[in-house]
Amino acid sequence: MQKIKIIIDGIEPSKNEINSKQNFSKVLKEHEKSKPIIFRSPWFYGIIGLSSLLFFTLVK
Amino acid sequence: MLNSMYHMSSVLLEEERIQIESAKKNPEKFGPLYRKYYEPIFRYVYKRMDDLDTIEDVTSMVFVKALANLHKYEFRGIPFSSWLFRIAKSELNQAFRNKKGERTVRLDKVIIGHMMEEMIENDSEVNRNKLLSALTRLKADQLELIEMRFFEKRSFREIGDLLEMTENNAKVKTFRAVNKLKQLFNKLE
Repeated sequence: MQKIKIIIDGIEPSKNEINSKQNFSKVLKEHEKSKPIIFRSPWFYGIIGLSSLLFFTLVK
Repeated sequence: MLNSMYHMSSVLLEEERIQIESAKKNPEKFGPLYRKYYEPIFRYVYKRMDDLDTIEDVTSMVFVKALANLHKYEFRGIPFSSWLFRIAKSELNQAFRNKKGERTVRLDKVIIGHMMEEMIENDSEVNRNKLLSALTRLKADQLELIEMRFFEKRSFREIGDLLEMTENNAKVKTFRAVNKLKQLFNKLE
């Protein structure tokens, strides 16, 4: 069973306090970082594979 | 009291749909949705977690994940917040698995008083302690239903959308969760 901590009558942060923590630029940066790098994508290997196959067929 | 941000008019829903579609093409356009939903998502996480730094990280990660998966999002006539809350639920569970915070239930004495009424019990110190103890013994999904319905005052329709079930199913499951809570309460000395 998960351990649960109960807090009664704790301080609720205000709307302003919460909204002051917003940082959309950080979200955009993290999003950019999390984008798959082209050579890690299956599409990349698919295209490379097909081109190689085509190349060898033509050379033969 | 119903959550007005959830129960929005069709005009507002359409406005939101347009914002989502433009954010799919350009992540910078996600800004208005981020600003609109930052506070509700932060509060959702805050009510379930104890560590403030982790709460901020989880909230931020919800929007990073939302942006990364926005191309998969399909508008189904329900507010975008349902999708964000589902991501938040998953990110919270991930944080708990990674031991980044402790599962927390935040409530006040007024809510405890309402719960005692629901349980048809006297609002005494002994009963309050029994109730809190019973809450910690509920299964995770039952606790989630009790939190959403009684602590956050969400409608069954909203609970259904957030937990990916029908409104009727949300009603039935919440009823069962309350019964389970009563059973656990009565078992405690």
